[in-house]
Amino acid sequence: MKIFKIELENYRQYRGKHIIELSTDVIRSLNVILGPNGAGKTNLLNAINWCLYGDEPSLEKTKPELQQCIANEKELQDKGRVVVRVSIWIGNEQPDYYFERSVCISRSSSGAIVEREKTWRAAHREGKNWKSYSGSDWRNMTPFNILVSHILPEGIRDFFFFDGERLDNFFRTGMEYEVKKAIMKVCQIELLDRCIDHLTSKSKELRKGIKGGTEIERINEEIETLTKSKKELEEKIEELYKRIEEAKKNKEEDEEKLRSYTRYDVQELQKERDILSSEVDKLDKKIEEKKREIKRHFISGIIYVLGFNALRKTYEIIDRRMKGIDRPPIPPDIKDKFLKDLLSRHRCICGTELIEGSPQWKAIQKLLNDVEPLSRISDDVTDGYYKIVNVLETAKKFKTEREKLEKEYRELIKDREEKSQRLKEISDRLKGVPVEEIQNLENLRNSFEDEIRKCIGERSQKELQLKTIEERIKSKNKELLKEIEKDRKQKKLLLKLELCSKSIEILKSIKERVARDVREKVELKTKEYFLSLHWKKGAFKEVKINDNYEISVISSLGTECLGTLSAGERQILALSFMAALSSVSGFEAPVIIDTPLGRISGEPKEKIAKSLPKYLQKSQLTLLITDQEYTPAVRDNMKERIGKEFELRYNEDEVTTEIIEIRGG
Amino acid sequence: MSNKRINPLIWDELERITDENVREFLRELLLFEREHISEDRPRYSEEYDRLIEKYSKKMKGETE
Repeated sequence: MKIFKIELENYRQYRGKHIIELSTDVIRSLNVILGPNGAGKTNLLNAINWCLYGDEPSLEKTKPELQQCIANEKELQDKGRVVVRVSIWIGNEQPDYYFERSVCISRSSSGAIVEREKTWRAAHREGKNWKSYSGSDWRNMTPFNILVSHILPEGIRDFFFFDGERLDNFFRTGMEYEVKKAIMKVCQIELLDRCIDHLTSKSKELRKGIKGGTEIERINEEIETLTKSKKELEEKIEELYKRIEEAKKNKEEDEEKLRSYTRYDVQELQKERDILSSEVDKLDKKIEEKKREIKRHFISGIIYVLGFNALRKTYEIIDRRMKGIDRPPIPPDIKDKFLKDLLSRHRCICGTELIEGSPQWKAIQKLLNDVEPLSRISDDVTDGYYKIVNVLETAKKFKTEREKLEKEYRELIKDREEKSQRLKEISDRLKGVPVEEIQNLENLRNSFEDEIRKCIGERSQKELQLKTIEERIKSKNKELLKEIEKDRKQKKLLLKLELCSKSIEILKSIKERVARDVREKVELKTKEYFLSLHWKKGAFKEVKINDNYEISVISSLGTECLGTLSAGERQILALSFMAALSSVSGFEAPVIIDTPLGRISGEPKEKIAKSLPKYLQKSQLTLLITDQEYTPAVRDNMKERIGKEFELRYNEDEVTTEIIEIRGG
Repeated sequence: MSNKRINPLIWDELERITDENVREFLRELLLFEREHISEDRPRYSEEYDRLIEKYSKKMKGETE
């Protein structure tokens, strides 16, 4: 999907009517809109958001006065009444969708802004004809919203229309949940969740309709109670995620204040704490891994632990018998093969001929009959003896390995305790600094840390409970189906329930696979883009997104360094992530980036200019860019992909911005 | 059935469902949800009833 045309009328600094027709060429799908600060780049992005979604998320929240009036001030001053209108044409090979939002703005006698005639129009192509909708109430514009959602649903627009300079917030501490939500939404896993939720509700309704025996009613009641508890638990877990995220952000903010505090000793203590905290985190992960390793090792050798004493006793008994202690040794190993050989050759080892049926022949046969069982027992005991010896050897190795693992575990725990102790000392020292502000910051930070710890513990507990409840619901559902099957009259209902249950199970497994697939693809692409965009070749070797959607950047030395990336590096990481997300997303929406290279300098800027359009080659890409960003070298690197270039020229006398197409078309 | 608005990763997974009846049922559900993705609480009940009725009738063992 591409934006073909945008028409602005009296929207902020765009006084009068202005039309911008973007390039929709497949190869040259990059549009560059160049303008100095204040010329109206961000407001162009705001206008698109305002038209499609009715708000302006890029507006600076610190300047509430800006939000009051979207009309061109000069026009309003001159005419007293202004119609503000934004229209957008979107489509694939030709415009297939049309959206328009307008409002009439005037000032009351007291000078307050009055908004009237809030109208909207939307249309889409159906074959050769257009089907259109319109209304005069922004609170009721369902057809408009549905058509917008065909292109880009509101919930995910931030990943397609965004401010490059604010992107790095995405990877600050505590944003793992946001990253997870982004991936889930952009890749449409939300659709699977919705289907599962709605089918679950329908199953509940269907079960209520079953008029079976008391057993069915009882199971139904149980399922209902369990489903209710499950819902409550899910809500609680969601709330805990949010609380953790909030506390992490607050803690990080307090630490940032301490990090940049004017007192040198405070700064140093905070820096030391940063390093120690990172080390403690790593140790926690190692401790968990070591615990798992010990568990795995224990399971693999449980047989040795359980059977050790019995095997040892058996070994001692056989050993004593084999050595002839206490009793005569086990009979010599007279091989039955030897006796059989004599009989088959009809000759004894002394040279005597052995005639079948002769006393000698019979004597050897008797010996063979007597010796066979004894020989087998002897063989088995000898084999068993050496096997026991081997098992006991392995058991010894197992014990040694277990002791080694336990020692390593104890060392990790000790190391962690020492670091925790030092962290406590740092905290005590900060609380001891005779400055009230620092003491307050430290106390607050510690309370946030306690909150995080408490919430994480609670969350793990709740997640465990949730898993148990889910298992119980599953088993109760099976029980219920069995019961219902007994009742032929409930056949129809049973089929519906079966359809729902089967579908829910399939959807859950699809969700699991798609989520894993998407996470792996985003991880792979983010890594590929980040490593190729970064200017320090070989400085990093890995970008990972783990099962909890925590992003980590691994340096060539193997250390985690997300927290120490510069603002420019974080911006590159965020751009890489966004491009990766776009490549696996389920939406073919245009991408608009405001100030994409704002925090990046020199050579890296040129590298990004060359690569970014390549990474987003399936999308129409529009860059809102300043002169400082758009150097000749940057332009040169992008020129093969540029379809059109525009310049925004602000005219101070007329209080308006003109949109001039400077190249392309 | 059109799939142009559903993520191919999801659509391909549906293709692999061997039970044709369930596969079509899930396709219709997903297209419905995609159409209402912009709504926080879409009115799904009637459409789900209709689809459950339609596809449960096609299930093996239906006597009607």
